[in-house]
Amino acid sequence: MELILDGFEKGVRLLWAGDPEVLGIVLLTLEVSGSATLLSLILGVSTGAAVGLSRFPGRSILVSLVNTGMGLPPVVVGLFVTILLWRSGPLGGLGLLYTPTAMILAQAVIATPIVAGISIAAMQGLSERLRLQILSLGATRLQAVWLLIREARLQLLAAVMAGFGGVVSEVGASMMVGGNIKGYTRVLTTATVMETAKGNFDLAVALSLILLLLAYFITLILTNLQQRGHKR
Amino acid sequence: MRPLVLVRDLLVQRGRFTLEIPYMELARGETLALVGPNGSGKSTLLMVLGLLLRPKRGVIQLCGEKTCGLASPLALRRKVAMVFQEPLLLKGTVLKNVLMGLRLRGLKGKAALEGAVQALERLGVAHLCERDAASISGGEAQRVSLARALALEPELLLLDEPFSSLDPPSRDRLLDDLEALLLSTGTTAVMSTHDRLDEMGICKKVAVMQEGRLLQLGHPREVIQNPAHPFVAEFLDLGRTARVLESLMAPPP
Repeated sequence: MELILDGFEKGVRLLWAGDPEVLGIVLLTLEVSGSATLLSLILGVSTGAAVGLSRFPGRSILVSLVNTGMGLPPVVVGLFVTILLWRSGPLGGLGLLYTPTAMILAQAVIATPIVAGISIAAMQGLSERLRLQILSLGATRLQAVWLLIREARLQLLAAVMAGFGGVVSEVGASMMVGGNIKGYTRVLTTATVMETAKGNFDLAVALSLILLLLAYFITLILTNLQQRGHKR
Repeated sequence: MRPLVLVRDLLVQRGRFTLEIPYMELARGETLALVGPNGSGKSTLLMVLGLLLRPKRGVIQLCGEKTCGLASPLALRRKVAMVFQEPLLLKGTVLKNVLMGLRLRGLKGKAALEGAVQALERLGVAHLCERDAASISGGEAQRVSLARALALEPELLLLDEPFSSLDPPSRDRLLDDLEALLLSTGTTAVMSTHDRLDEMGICKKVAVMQEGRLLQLGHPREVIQNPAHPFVAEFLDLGRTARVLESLMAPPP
């Protein structure tokens, strides 16, 4: 208990003092996980709309694959992204391994199936008659899809929260493709793992508390956005 | 005069269900009630007329234009408006809902606002303008849904059992208002109902359908007096028919 309290005190002190290293880690965590969530939002919601609003052969197989992807182990993602970005790998020429971009890519791979899976369910939950009603009001297909996405925004924001929660807390992929390089690819999760391994439990607790606070505030903002669209 | 709606040799396939209409026409300003039990094909026919469902075969002409073979039915679909059994209002205020169709059809600014408010006034729900669409009652929501369709001033108004989810007093009031509105605006309308005579009474023509077939089409009085098929007589319920006949033959107040 004392360890946690010490960690909490240290965390507050680090934040209060504006420790440049910790601040850098927090900002990079936000940048990497925020960008990955944004990427997964674009890919996941469009996949959700395309699959949730249409019927085609093999659709249920695709949905089950997406749903399986919702539980994709970060280390597996990390392994495959590393192989892809490895110097002799198919995308090795881009020189992205051990960069924040590689971390964004890996986290987007983790978050996209989460966002897509929830989006598919959300779009399928909309009444077919609502789609027909929108079309009969004179909407083009694209306008109809946009209006249906807006109708499902409560669930879609829940998808974004789940996606962000999934990536901001993962460590395996970030460690493997980012390398936990000080001042460059070190984020809150990888820093916590490292400090724990070094036995610096107070600092590890401080970093994990900052991570929890960060996740809470981002989710709070998204929840407010979500509930604003749910006035009754 | 060229009919506003012309259907010839229509065949629609939806899974195992087949809808066949050899011939049907509707002149501008006419109102048609589609009556029949569940599964008779009323909603399917409405969706085909609203260009929301492609038929397998046949000719449909709307406002003199053939709907088959069109690369995009959007321009023609925008001449039609449809109201469903449920109000199907979108998230947002009542006014935003009525404005939506107008905006989707390219009307902007003051003109759209005036059109929306006027339609809401006609249906007696203008006072709900700023209310959240999710917070109004079922009867009010159906009125808003009708206002949303009428604001578009469609060439053809399609109504798919619009009163079936309402309680009897709300339904009767809305039925009276709709009858007055259709008469005053001269809107051509097709309305499906399985409530038989009550709603049929506001239409100039009646089409009785069963299992995807059109059994009889004509003036309500003609259909009631000379049913062309035993099912028509059975479905229209002769006891109530007599009462409706009386009201149809009574001189206008």
